[in-house]
Amino acid sequence: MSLQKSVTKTKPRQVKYLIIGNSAAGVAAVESIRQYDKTGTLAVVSDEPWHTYSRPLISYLLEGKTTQEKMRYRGDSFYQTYSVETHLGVRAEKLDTKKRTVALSDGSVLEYQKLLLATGSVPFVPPMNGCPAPNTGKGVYTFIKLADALALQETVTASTQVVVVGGGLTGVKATEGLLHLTKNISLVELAPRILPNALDTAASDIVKRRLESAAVTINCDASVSEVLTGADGNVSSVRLSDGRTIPCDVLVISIGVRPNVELVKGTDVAVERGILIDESCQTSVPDVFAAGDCVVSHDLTDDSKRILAILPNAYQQGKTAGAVMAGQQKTDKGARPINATSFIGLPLITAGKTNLTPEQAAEQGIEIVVDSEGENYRKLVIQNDRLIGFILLGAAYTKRAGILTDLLNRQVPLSSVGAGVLQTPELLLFDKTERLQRMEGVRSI
Amino acid sequence: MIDYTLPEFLVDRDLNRCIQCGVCVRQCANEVHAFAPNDPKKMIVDERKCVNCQRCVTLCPTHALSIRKHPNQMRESANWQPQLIKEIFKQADTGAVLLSGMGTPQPYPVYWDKMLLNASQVTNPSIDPLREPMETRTFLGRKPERFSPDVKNPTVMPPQLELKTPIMFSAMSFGSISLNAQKSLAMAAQELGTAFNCGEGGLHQDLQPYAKNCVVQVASGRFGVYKDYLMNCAAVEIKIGQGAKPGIGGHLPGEKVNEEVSRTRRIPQGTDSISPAPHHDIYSIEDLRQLIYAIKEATNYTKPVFVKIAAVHNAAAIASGTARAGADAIVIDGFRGGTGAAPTRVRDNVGIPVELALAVIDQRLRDEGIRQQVSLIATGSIRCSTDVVKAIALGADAVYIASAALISLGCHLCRNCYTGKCNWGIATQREDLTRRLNPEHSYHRAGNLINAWTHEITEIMGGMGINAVDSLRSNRKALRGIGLNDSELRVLGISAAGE
Amino acid sequence: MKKVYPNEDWCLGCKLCEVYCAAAHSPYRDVHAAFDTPDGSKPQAGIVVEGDTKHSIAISCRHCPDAPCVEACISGAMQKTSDGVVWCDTTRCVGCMTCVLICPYGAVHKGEGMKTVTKCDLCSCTGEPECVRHCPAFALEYKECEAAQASGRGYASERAFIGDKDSQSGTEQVMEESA
Repeated sequence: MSLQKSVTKTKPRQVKYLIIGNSAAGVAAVESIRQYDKTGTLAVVSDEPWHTYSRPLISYLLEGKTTQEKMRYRGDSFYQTYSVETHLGVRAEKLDTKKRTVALSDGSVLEYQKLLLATGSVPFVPPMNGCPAPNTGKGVYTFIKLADALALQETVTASTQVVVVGGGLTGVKATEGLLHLTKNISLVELAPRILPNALDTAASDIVKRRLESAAVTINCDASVSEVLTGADGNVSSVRLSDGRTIPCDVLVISIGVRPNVELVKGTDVAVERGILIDESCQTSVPDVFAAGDCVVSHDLTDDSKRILAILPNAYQQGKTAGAVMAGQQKTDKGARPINATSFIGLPLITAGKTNLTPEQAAEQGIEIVVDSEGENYRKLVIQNDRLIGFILLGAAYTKRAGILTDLLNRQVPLSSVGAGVLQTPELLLFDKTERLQRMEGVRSI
Repeated sequence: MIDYTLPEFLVDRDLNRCIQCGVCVRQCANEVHAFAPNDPKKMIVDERKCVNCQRCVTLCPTHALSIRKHPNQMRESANWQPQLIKEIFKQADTGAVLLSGMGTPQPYPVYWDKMLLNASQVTNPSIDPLREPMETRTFLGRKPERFSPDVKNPTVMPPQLELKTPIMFSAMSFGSISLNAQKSLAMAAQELGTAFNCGEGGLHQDLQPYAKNCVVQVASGRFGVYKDYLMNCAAVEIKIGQGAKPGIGGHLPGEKVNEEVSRTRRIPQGTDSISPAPHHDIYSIEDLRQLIYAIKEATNYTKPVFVKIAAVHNAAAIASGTARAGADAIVIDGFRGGTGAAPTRVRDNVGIPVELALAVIDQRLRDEGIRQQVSLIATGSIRCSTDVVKAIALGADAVYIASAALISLGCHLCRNCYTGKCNWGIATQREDLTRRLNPEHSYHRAGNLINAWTHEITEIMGGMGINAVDSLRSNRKALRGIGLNDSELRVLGISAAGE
Repeated sequence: MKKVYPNEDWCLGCKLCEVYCAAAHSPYRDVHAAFDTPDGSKPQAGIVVEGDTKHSIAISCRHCPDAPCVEACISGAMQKTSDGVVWCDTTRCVGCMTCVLICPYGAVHKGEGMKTVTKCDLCSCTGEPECVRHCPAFALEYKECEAAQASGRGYASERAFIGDKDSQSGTEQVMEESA
């Protein structure tokens, strides 16, 4: 499958494009580069041995909604089709921006003309008293890679007591996935509610009830103060900050992720919380680009710099980086936080700014419109006649949500669109001329 | 209060097939179908509103619907037929004149079906229209009495309307049918090289590009008549009467005279548009002659002038007078002809069949030696190509079709034109309904129909050994009557089958 | 490329396009069989009629050159063929709704109780799209877009090098192997 070439230790192998990372940003860069340069040598390095796969699908893998075969992010012939030299299961160990080389863990060295760092993120593991190192077979796991999911799949049985630390999107999705393996799951979240960043209290409560009806025990306002291990060194229980002790065979830590900047440490590549890039995804070092979860992105919602570890953003940055690497002019102005997922069949879509207290809203002149009906919940955040964020929960409100995302992305004045577009997103409510234009050449009498 | 209305039709919904897609609900302008309140999986039906137009049946994607005669039976009486009783209920409710649409459904004899055509065998060769030229071209208008060989003083040919096929679309006004329906026929007429008739409501500005193929009407209300109307047309038709309602005028209430109708009829918006029963300037043949010549003067003798009369008892004498009054063609509209709205009793009881009127008029004009002065156009329920052939053999130069043309556009003859809720987008002005008929696509259907009929006409003529419609005209030997009594045979001027 | 273009001036709002689309994208290909589900659930259409019988328009996928749904798809199920057709490989779709969130036309749908999304794929297996074939008002046309061509926004040039066509798609590979 891979076009892995034999390499010699003495002489660096020269490649025109070198991409470190084999997930969304890396794949996007491959597709983008090959759009403009069909022949330049292109190599992809990843410490994971797999064909490119979709990271967010690991919870669906546990759930049985997909298989390792089907969760491939691109088809089997991807590397052949795009003439990609693959170095899979090989870690990029040292970057020398002066010599333009990357040393790999197999001893080989690649010399690049253009380099893309798409190294993604690493799980954040907070210090917890008595906690064995994660992923060492002692019952502590992170949840970010395929290997994590495969390990959990192997370990967790119907009788396993699982504690998931972190009630964010990944934690909750991990919980949902694990529910297919065991019914004994406790979720521990430091904040007063689960999904604290994505959802407000009301929406969070609806998801919480869904999870609880699936027999998940949810502990909010709580953290793990101590991890207790048995004689074999394996986790046996956890003690929470409120003093309670929960039996635990498997501890899944999904508190969050941090940009993986290991490779650029000690180089000229400027790093803050993540790798810093400009609008063309170039780092502070010429010909070195970065994209995806490892970079500091521009959040258009509030014009701030932050880590936007979401797949669509990674793809867009990878696409921009690839085009620029192939000599094109292209810029990436930034992105907005968007998320779509479902919790035990309850669809959730969020975009933009969603979490504001009534006081904050009043202060900034922000209008918040909330509707709810059963498990359906909709919150629209409006400022200066523009939609700046929304939460849509449930099948009734998530229909055709992209029209709202479009209103948000283009910052369309809501007064220019027919009333009710926020309640029932329809193109018919747009100006007819604009609609015809957008539908491209629709004939009008 | 008791609602005496009895449903005429039974709407059968095969619940095993119905998928509750709601297409029937959205397509029925009569609101027969509906979703049950608060239950989108349950369909309800109000059969009393059903007019059996077949729209829902045609569009239902699972063919779950069928409409049939309601099985409810009233106590039988040969005299007091259920229809009469229902009509009395209706009139007792409303106190109004009964109205109907389209041609009479009453079981009067259809003489077309009692005449058989001849064919060549042995002694005269039949013609294969695929191998030999067949002429279906017809010229409508006064023909000169004699040909002058003197080149210095040549024969003056009066204006003629040339048709590539002897079938035209009959008068249907904008108002009685939708603009889309009119436009479909206009486009078809232009493509076919024949004519359509805009009726008495004027010619809508959107149809100006088709004016050269339009026979324009001058009726008792004179609506929409102005210089360009007369000058740009194919021919002018003075409407004296209509087969479906001889002796009856028309009335378009002021509320229906919207901006479009107002502009087309050239009357102020909101005024009643009344077509009087008679032309108030015509009380004699001499008066008719005045109008005919007024139009000829106005058009500088460039347009043939038709006069349309309803087939009534003394049609032959009227036709003779009309020919002498200077008409270039006489349109004879039989009593089975259609209408957008007519008093039911008039439609079903006044006038005579076009077959008989046509035969006697043709004979009368021949007897008087003035047949060449006028062309004859037969109309009033021409249903198929053999009706056309028989009409020509009885003396017609051409025919007008209306109901058949509308059927080609989708009309299912539900006969509720006067309600303005035509589900096929034909006899309605409601925008959501007229949209159902897209002229760009439907004109092909009308065109196909005429082409098919024309093809059949050449086949039948070929079988008779005749290679031109001119040679078939008034060729009564081509016809034989079947099941007709002596009087009928005499009026038709044909022999009985076997004779 | 040829796409389905709605003409709202002629649309009747009858929703037959939705019915036939849903049937065509069900396993049965027959309207009655497709809707006759044991649990009463309805198959999802890839086209949606907005409005009522007074004014309506049928919206389906525009098969955007840089399709946001393809780029945002987290599983790689949403793809573009070399002909420019955006389609969803439902064997790989996990129903995460990212495409629903991202499509500015609202042209990707997740049916009630369905595990994957449905969208217009131009009925690639049948030639002419079913919605066009069955529109009683000729309000849907399957044609090349004059406007897009006139403005030089030809799709072939824009993304001639699109995508890895998955083995399951059976579509042609567009790129030749480089040396």
